Amino acid sequence: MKGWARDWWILIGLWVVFSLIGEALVPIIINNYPAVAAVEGEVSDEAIFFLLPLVIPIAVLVVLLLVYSATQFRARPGETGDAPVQRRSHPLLSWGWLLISAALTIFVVFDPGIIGLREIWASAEAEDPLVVNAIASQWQWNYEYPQYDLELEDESPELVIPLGRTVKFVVTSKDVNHAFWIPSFRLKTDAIPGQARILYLTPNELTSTEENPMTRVQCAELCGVGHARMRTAVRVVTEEEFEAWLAEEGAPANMNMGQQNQDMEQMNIPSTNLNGAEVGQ
Amino acid sequence: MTTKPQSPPAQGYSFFGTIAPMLRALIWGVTGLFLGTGLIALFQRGPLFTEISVTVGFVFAMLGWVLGGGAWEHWVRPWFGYPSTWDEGTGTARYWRYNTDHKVIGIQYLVTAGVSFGFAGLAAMLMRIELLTPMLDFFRSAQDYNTAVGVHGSLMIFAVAVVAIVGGFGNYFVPLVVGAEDMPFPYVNGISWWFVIPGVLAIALSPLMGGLQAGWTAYAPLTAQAPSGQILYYLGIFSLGLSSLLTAVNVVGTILYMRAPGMTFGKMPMFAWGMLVTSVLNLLWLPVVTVAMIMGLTDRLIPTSFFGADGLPLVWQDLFWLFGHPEVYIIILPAWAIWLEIAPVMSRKSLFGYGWAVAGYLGVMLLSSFVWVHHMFTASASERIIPFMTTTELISIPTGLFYLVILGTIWRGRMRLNTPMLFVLFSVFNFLFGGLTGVFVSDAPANFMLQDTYFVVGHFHYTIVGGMVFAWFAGLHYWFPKFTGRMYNEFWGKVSAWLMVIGFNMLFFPMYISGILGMNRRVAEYLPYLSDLNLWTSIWGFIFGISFFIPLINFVVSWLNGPKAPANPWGAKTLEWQTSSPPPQHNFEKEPVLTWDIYEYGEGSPSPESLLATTTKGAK
Repeated sequence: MKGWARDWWILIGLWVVFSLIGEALVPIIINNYPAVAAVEGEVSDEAIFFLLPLVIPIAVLVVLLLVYSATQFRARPGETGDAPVQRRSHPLLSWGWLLISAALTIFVVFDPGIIGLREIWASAEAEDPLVVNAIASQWQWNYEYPQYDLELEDESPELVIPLGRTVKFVVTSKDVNHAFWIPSFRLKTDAIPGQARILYLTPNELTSTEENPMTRVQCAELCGVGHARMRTAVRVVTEEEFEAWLAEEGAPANMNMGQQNQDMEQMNIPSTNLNGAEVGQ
Repeated sequence: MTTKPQSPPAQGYSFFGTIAPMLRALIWGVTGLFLGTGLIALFQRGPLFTEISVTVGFVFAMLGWVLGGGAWEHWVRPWFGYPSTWDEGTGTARYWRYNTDHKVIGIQYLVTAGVSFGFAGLAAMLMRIELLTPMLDFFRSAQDYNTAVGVHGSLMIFAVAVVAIVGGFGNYFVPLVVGAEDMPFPYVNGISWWFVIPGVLAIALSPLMGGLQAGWTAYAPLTAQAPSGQILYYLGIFSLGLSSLLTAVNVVGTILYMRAPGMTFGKMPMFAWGMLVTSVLNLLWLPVVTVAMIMGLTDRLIPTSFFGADGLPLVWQDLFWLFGHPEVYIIILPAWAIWLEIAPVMSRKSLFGYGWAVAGYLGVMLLSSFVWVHHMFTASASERIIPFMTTTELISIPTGLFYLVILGTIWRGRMRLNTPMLFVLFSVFNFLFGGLTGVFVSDAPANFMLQDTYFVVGHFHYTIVGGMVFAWFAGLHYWFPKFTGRMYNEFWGKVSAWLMVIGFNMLFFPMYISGILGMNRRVAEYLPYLSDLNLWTSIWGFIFGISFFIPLINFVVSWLNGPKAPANPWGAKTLEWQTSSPPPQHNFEKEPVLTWDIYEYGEGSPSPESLLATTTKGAK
């Protein structure tokens, strides 16, 4: 076998072996991945889990080419001359490289990119979402449940939300930019003064900050000296517990106003929906 | 083509005599500062240092500094018809004064970038000390931590990443690689470096006025309530932007109009291509951010209402990233150019796929102007996400072409695994992970999770430190004999390369994990469940930081005392090696004529030594 063919076959063999080893690691990574606690967050995780096995063969190929070249094609002591003259272009290889990378790229724009976005945005269609206004200010979050005429005004209130019901977070800020983020729910949106951003999240696991520190509201956009501490505890409870909690907090029982955007109308600020269309249209 | 080396320092060398012009510049600068602040204080009948007085003082200081460095005699006097009385100096004195030699300016840029790198790196070390434990226990307050974050980021990006290769190597080597005797506007070029120092000083001294509270991106309206140090950010980056803009004019001019006879666009060195597209991007987008800096400044001073609570805070983000994303490619395109410059020389094999590399440059140049909104996916209205997610993913296509070219070049070569080549390989390796994680970050559903976490911090450090800084060090070693006429120590070079790549990956790879686990950016305190990862990161951070002392010592010792290097130690065929080391004042003894293929290597190809004869023949 000619030298160049031998090198190619060895490289391809190594590529297959190491790619398979890499792919075998993917389930391990996924199993050890931090728990996700919201339906929409799963879409985000799925995007990562989809891309991970996709990039592994690419990473393996490049690293192998680097290591193979540096070890097999290095000048041995005494080899001072140039390498044998070789071709300086390879149209088939180059066009193949271009087209494959283009195809992969365009593919990932659609899946998980656009498809994932559509899935996330689909939550805007959820029936009877629980509206929670998350109002950021330096350096605390205030939460309002306008459907229940309830405002949590503690210094560090606990955000309580029911399991399985889509929560429509209406996020805004009173002063500077902040970002509303529950790490175990994955998705975040910035809180921008004078504007409202809407984020739909559907908790699908009973969890709380005590159980999992990733289930916390964390400000994710630098907002001054209190930025790191700008977080509140979160508790996901069953529907019954939620009703009980509402009563305990002094909200009139089952007082669902049925008017989702009432909060925003009162605030009279333009709002843009992260999950799709303009609010109020 | 052989020339005598630069003459040694003149008799009666004195340190103060050498640095006298810079001392005068400093005195004029400080005088200007107090003149400006004093005038405003008198006018306002107020305290000496207010935001408005410091702004005026800064402008006066900048003028005083530039004029005091020699621009007065060398530039302003000739405007009025008087002859220049300026002596550009010889030996080391050249570096301490206004000098129009692009090689001197290149060294000035490189040293400045190195010093800024050290200072900003020190800020990073302080941050890592703070992050050793979950609680705030090192800095007095979160405000001090935020200042460290802001100084680190602002200096690293604006005074190192966009300056080291573009300003340093760009000034030194663009005329050399295209066979020109200098740049088209040497006087402008001489000025350009002098704008770097006020910029660096403004940012570095911002803690005196309360520091930077809003990070290197300075999002409004947080900046409106930040202490007065914020104006030093605007002024400093304005000054640094001005410097880069002047350099870009010169680089584009040199490459378009001053190439040696025979050097068509299709025969231009990779480094020239990289610098050309980089400088075009600078010319297009630097004005945007420079004007945004002025708008941010006037928001505080006058005040105008561009980005404040009564303005449009998101417009600041748009303007900032409108420059800020092309800027990421302004950082990495020259790094790729260095890969492709060094790889064929050290592999002793012709560059593979020249045309594909050019296509990659042009593709990145075009696309990079249309991706900026991906920094704002979580801040933007949803309609903007899909188009910008698409352009962002698409940019990996031209980026991939650079991998095609470098891997095709080293494949079946005869690689000399010396320090420059090691750094190139490590840069390719590191950037791979920066690039591939970029695919995750640019995917909007994943971005909603990863944005503003340590995953993003890891991602851009892999591209900028792993990609650009490693390529910078590859270039520093590769061209060290050209700068100095001496050879660096190969053993310590290799040791530093290995130590840096290990430290780098140990330091930054865990950031991907801590980001996924919910570690958000720019925090002095974090929850205890993240402490193990942060402890690990900090310790490797210190090791990575210390490892930079090895190349520093290597360079200093070798410059003073290294073995003499021949003019062309690597047997390279690009033009910068076809002249003495360091090159004479006008670079080439005779105007070079390019009659050979600069990337043709391999058995039987013309030896580098024979090229000189060809040049001389062509010059007749």
